[in-house]
Amino acid sequence: MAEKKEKSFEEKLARLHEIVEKVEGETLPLEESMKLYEEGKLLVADLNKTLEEAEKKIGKFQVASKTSK
Amino acid sequence: MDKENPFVTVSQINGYLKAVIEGIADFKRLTVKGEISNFKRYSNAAYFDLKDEKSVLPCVMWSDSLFYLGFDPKDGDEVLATGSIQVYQPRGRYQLYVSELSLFGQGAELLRLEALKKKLTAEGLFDESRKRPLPEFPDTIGIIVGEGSAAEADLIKNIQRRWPLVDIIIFPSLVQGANAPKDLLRAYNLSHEYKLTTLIFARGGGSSEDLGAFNDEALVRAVATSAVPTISAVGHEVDFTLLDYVVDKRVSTPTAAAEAATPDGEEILQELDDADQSLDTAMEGILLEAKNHLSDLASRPFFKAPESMYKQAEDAVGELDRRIDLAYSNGLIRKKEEITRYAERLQGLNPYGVLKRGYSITQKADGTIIKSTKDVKVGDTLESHLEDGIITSKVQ
Repeated sequence: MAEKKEKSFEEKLARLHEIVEKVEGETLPLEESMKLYEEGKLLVADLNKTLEEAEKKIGKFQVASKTSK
Repeated sequence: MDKENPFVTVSQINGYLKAVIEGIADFKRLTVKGEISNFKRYSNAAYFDLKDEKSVLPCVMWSDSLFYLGFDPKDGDEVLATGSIQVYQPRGRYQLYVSELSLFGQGAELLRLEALKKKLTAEGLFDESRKRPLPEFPDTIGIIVGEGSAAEADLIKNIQRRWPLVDIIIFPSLVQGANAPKDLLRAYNLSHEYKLTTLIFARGGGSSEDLGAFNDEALVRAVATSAVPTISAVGHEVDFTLLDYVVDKRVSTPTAAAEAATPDGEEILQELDDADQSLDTAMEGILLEAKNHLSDLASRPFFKAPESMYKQAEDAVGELDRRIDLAYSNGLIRKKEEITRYAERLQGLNPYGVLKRGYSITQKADGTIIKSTKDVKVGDTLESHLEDGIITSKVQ
């Protein structure tokens, strides 16, 4: 069970959606659009990497001990 | 059947058989197992047949007995009927007069289940409003399943295929047999010692008796309090257990459970791809717009002929300069005129001015101006100023 320090996949994906909507829909200052664009591209790369890496280490599951504590 | 009476009447033989049959002690009270058919209910009695593979036994049940029945008998019910065998003399027909009737085997189990389901439903355990949504992106999925079962393998395979980011913890349990309910409960309690986001109960198909453990009241009540959303995938589509009613999501196969518990990785990848492209497209649009805006501004006269800006300023400065000069010179002229005016007025006040008209001013040697004869005495030297010179004289 991974302890979550950084944002979860779900949160990152939600942030990405938010960024796409902002960049697509709102009339933001150019500088801000650029910043969001860069953040969005980083998120896409990061999420893709997370999925790809997870696929590589597939087969991870554990069996709980049979006797109850 | 003696010689005087070479025959017996119908009533006699029926009466005789009635006496014989009803005289058999075992027939006074016995329990018959059979399947109900041709069930007909009237106001005072119900008539039906009990049958098995080969034979049929007519039955009668009076309304006072019917009144206490815990279920509604119908054709096909497997039942235990208790009563006495009696003969209905008018028709020469022996029948089972049923005083007690109960469902047998599966029927009894079903009846018990129905009652339990009704009770738990009334308590609100199966309310639709209790159903929680399953987490879209689970962290850790717990699975209560038979160890090494096909269902277990199926779940692990499909969960990892769809969403490899999730951790899986297996809680092996008996899923069938007399000890299964207790073991399922143990596995359930154990699962709650772990930090899970979803809990799945899974078991492959089986006869409805095989699935009985998932109808256990204690188990169902425990799962109703589960801290995490639950999924059941027990038996086939047609099999419903009480667990199915209490979980947040019921599916019919382990594969479907994997699908309900996890997002589709392929879809997410596609989503990421779409987001990536949307970002590029939107950014290109924004940049293009900015560029157009810029070139639009650059083509304004201001930028095309920047010197015009200085020209304007120069003109403005020149104009001011001219106005200052003008104002200055106007001021000078006014001042000169003023001075001339004062000079003329001063001229009028000049004492020497009167000398021109023939007057003179006489002074003593010390410069005192003589205004009266009393100002002089004999012997004083006087100086008289005229327009063109001075006359010196002595007083006599």
